[in-house]
Amino acid sequence: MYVQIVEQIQRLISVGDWPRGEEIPSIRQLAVALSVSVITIKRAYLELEREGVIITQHGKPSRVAQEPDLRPMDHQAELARHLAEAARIGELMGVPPEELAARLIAAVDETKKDRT
Amino acid sequence: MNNARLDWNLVQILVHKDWYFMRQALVAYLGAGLLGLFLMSAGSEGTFYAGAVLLFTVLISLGIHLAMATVVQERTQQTLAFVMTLPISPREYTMAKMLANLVIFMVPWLTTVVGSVLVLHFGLQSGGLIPFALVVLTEIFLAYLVVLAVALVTESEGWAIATMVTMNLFFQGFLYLVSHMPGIAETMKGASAVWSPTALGLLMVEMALIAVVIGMTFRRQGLKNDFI
Amino acid sequence: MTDLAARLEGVSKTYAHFSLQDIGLDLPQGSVTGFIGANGAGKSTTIRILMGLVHQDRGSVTVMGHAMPAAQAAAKRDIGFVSEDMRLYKAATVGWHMDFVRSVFPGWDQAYADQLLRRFDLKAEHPVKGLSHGQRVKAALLLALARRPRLLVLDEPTTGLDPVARHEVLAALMEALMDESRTILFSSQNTLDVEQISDQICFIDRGRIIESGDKESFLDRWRRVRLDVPPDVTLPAQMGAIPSPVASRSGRLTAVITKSFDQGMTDAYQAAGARVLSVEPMTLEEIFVANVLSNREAAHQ
Repeated sequence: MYVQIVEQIQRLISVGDWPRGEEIPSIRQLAVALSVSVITIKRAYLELEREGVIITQHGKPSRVAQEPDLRPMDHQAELARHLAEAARIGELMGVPPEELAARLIAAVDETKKDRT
Repeated sequence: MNNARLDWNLVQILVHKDWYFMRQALVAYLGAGLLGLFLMSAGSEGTFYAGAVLLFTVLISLGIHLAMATVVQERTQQTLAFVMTLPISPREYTMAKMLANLVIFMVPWLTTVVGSVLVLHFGLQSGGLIPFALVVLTEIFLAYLVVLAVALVTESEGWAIATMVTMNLFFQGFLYLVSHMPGIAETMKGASAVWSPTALGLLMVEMALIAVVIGMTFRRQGLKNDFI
Repeated sequence: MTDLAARLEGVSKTYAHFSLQDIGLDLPQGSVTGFIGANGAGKSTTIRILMGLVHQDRGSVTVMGHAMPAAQAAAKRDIGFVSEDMRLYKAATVGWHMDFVRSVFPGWDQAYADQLLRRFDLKAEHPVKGLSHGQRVKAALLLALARRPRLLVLDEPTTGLDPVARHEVLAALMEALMDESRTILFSSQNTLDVEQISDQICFIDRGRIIESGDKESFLDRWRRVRLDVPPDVTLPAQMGAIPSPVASRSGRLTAVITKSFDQGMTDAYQAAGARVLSVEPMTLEEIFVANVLSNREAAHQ
């Protein structure tokens, strides 16, 4: 569940709703705002700090890092999982690897098209 | 913890709450009681009996209504949990219920006692009936306290109703017994009250029993472990 | 060192057809504890013992420094309690109840109460008799919340509420936590709500606490491992893996549920010749059901 919070915050930072270097809500404030347990927000903040996206200082409010790294390791694991899943289903259905790769590229193109 | 002191402010708030919910019924009972007194003094033997029966009925019904509304209903309507979340101990709850009941009941009861004495002595020149009347009216008070005690201690609708029925049957028998008792029967006809040892003795016993029932109620309630 | 808002230790209570055995529960100040159990598992009894409304046969109960049930009057000054089977007085209005509670509790915040009236879509003039179930629960919650108590004890606060009401109630509960000295304990059948706002979780079944701990580590440790097991392969027994029938077999495909997952497990399965299809996180509801079933199974043997 904390993963969703992490992603939400990363999105906020990447579009600039949470500007670089600026203060962010305290753990408790965000917990209340989202109606999510304090412990989940705490975990999310810990994760974000580990990745260098936010900076926490004892006794002072947390803030967004000046140069946040928005491609965390967790997404790598998620990507690997999805690719493995696609491979497994492809094998089940008997789809040859080349067709699978082609379909993946087509899907990437679709996503690009949706964005514009 | 501090067993001696009760939170009287809270007890008062609770008593006021019970009175608030009974206030309309109370007006009706008082009205009916006054009507009974009026009938008693109207003049004929028929209206006298009608008035007396109305008075007894009003008091007995009020007792039942009070016990049911203030005690049994807290459980059957599930408002007991709400009350128990207030900062009260079981002792304060018991005290509040007892006080609420006593105060609310005694207003019509005292009115009836005083009213009947006045009507009998001044209005009807039948003061001889006064000892009998007081013995009977005190019995009604005692019977009501017994029903209240059972309702508080057992918190059971079934037991409360069973007790009401029993006390009612007892009342009928009591009326007959006392009106035929030597020491009372022969003094009933006179114009002024005659306080025979029998009459006084009966009153003493009744008042002692009232004290016992009240005391036992508090004791049993104090021993209770589970409130809900 | 966190302060404890409440602690139950070794609490037992025996009834004719049911008994609570050796209940232990700690409520750290400022936290939300979710209490999950089936009907009749003992949630309500435990909560009543915590409130001093029921006297435990054995064990100690301390709430905000007060021993229960002896000091219940003092403790209840700071506790807001709402239970699913609680009713308000039918002959009165919501507003009457607000005035009543205000007269008893000096901490009543009228401005906050009015705000809650709006948010919960209630009116002070509304007689209690005409309230729907959801409105009744919200009214009772309002009466508890507006006092700003230090401890909120709620028995099934969202049961039977429509989704909008649930959302409002959860938001109001979380809001109470803005003050770090406030603590919440709530029992629920609704595992989604518990999963969302609880800091720590406690499972109860048949009168015993079968699991308790912080929510995130629960969600971390429990996994469902889906395996493709060839016919000639036996799965090695693993620490923390819940044995069948929860490990369901249907032909070659099987799933093993474990309460303490680590990489070593999948390695061991693969070494034994099975193919690991996926390692899935589980929802709190699935964790609860798996826990209860395996516990009952173990109790049978």
